[in-house]
Amino acid sequence: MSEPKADLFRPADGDGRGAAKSPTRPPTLIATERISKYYPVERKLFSRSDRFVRAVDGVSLRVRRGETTGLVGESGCGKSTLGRLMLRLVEPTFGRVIYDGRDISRLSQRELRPLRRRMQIIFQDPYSSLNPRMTVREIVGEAIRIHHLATRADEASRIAQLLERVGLRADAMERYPHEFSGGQRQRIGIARALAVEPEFIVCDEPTSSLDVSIQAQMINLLVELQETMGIAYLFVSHDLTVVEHVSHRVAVMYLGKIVEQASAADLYEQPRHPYTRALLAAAPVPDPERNRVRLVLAGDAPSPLSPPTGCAFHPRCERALAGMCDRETPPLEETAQGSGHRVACWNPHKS
Amino acid sequence: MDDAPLLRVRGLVTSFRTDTGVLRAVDGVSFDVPKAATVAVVGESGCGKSVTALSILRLVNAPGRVESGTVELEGRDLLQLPERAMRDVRGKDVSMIFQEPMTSLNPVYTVGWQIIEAVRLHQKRSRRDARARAVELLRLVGIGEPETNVDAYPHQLSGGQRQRVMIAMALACEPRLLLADEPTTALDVTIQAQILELLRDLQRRLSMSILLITHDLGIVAENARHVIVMYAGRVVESAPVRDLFAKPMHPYTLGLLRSIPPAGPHTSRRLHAIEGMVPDLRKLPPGCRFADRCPMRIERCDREEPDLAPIGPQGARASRCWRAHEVSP
Repeated sequence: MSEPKADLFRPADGDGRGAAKSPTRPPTLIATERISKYYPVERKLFSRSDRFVRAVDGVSLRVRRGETTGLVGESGCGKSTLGRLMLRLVEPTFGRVIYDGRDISRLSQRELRPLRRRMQIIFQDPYSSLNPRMTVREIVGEAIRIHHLATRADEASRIAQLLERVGLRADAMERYPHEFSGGQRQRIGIARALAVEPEFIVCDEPTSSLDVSIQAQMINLLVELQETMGIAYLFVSHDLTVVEHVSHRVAVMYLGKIVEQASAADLYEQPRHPYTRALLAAAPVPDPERNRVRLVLAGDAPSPLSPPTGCAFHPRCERALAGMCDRETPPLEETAQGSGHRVACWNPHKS
Repeated sequence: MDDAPLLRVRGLVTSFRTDTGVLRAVDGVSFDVPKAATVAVVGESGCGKSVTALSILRLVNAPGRVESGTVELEGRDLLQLPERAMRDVRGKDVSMIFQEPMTSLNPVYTVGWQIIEAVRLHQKRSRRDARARAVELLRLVGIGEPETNVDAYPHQLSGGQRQRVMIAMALACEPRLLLADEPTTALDVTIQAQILELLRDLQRRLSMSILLITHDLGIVAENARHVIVMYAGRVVESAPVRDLFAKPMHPYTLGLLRSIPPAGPHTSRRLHAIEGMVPDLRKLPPGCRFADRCPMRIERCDREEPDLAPIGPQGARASRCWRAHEVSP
C-alpha cells in the first residue's frame, strides 16, 4: 500500500451551496484516503483465498463540519460499506480514515471508544435496528449510561428532552418499539444517535423504507438538527433526488468506486458521467406533462465477483470507446482546475 | 366503439378481525379500469391499496374477508363466482405481480417449470409445447438467452430478472387485466426503468389493462391514465392523471405532491411534510379521516365525513373533501 498522494485533498473541493456567500468552507471533519475493503471469496478450510470482492476500492471522500455529503449508488455498489468503514464498524483492507486530523484507522477498539461518542449511525430499517425487548427509555438511555453523560437523577429528563427534540412525546419512554409506526421508530433511532451529542452521523438509507410524507418529515428533522447542532452527515441512499436535495456535495458510486463527485447543484445541472446521467434519467418524474427522455440503461450492474476490465461501467455505457474504456480504469479527476467537480470517465459528457 | 370499462368495482368493503376489534382495510371503494389502459392506485402504507387488489382476485386470507360490494369483470361479478370458476379467472383473465419476486417464485423449481405450470393450468398444451411457450415468454419479457435461462433456478437470477420472470408467468395466458402491486419498489432505479418500459410495451402489444399500485407519484405520472388516491381505506380523490397533477382537489393529494423532493436547484433543503400520521383504522374519527393532518380543516370536517363527490360535468373527477374547490397549490 503506497502512501496517499498529498494532493488528494487540495482545497480544490470547490463549492457547495452557500459557498458563494462565504468563500471559506468549514474544515474537514472526516475523510477517507484511498480506502478499500476486500472480502475473500471461496475461502476453504486451511487455504487462503486469493479471490476477492472489492466492495470498496480506493475511495477518498470527505465530510466537512456541519455539512452533508451525499453518497448515491445502486444496491451492491459499496455505499453502505463505505459508511461503515468511516465509522470503523468495518475494518479497512487498505487506506486510512482521518477523523478531525487524526488517523483513526489503526486505533484499537479501546482507543476508539472516546471517538465513538462523536460519530453515530442511523439505519435504514427502523424495525430491525431497535431491540424489541428494550423500552425506548432503555434504548435511548443506554449510550448515556455507557458514556456517563448524565447522572442517574438527570437521565430521565435528558431522555425526555431528546425525545422531544426528535418530535416524540416524553410518554413514549416506557413503551416498546413495536408500539410505534415506521416513522416514529426512525425518530427513536435518531434520538438514540443524538444521545451522545455526535458531530458526525452516517445516515444509511434513513428514509428508504418510509412513505413519502414521512420521508419529508424525517428529512426536515435531519436538516433542522444539522442547522441547530452543526452535525455533519454522510447521507447514503439509492435515491439521487433525495440525496441531491439534502446534500452539499454528492458522490456517485458504481461497483466500489466513486465515478463522479461534485456540489449538489453541479451534479444535477451538469452531470458528466454517463452513469450519473442514467441515474438521473431513470428516476421517474412526477410531472405527466413532461416528455420522458428515453435513456433506459440496459442490463444489470455487473457482479463485483467478476468486474469488467477497464471502466466497470463500460459494458452498459453508450459512450464507451473500444480499446480504451474496456482496458484502462479511468482516474477520478477534476473536470477543470479548481472546479471541485471530479469525474472518472474517458469520454465524459461536456458541460 | 365499446366504452364499457373492463373492470368495475363498486362499494368494495374488506375487513380484518383483530384482537382489538374489526377494521375495514378497504371501506367502500369504487372505481373503473378502462380497456387497455393503466389506472394507478396511490397511497401510503396501510391505506388499503394492496388489499383492494387482493380482494379483486379474492385472495384475501383469514382473518380478512371481503364483506360487500361488486367486482365486475366485463359485467361478471367475480365476488359471486363459485371458487372453481374463480380459479379459472386467476391467471387467465386477471393476473397479479408483487413487489418481492423471491416470495412469489418457488425456489426449488426452475423458472421454466413454473412458467410451464402456469401455462398448462389454463391451456391444453403438451409439456414440450408449453416449454416452447415458456421460452417465448422469457424472450418477450427481455430475459437474455431464454433457451438457457428457462432451466435456471430463481436464486441464479438477479432481482430485475426475477421480476421479469414473474411478469412472464403473469402474462402466460395473456390476461386482460394485470394487477401490479408495487412491481418495482424492491428494484434499483435503473432496473425499475427497464421493468416499467417492459410493462408499457407489453400493454401496447397485448391491449392489456393494468391496475398499478404504487406509492411513487413519479411512476404514476409516467405510466397511468387515471389515478385513484386512497387514504385510510377510502378513495379520497379520483382524476385523470394530468388533472390530478395540474390541480389536485384533495388536501391529501396536494400534501403528497408537495412532499416529493423537487428536482433541480432549490433554495431550501426543507420539504413540505404532511404532519402527523395516518389514523388507527380501529379508532377512526367520526368526520373526515384526514382531518387531523389537514391544513384546510374546518369544524364541519370533524363532524361529518364528506362523500366522494363528482366534480365537473363529465364526472371524470371526484374528491372526498368539503373544500375541494379551494385546494390550491
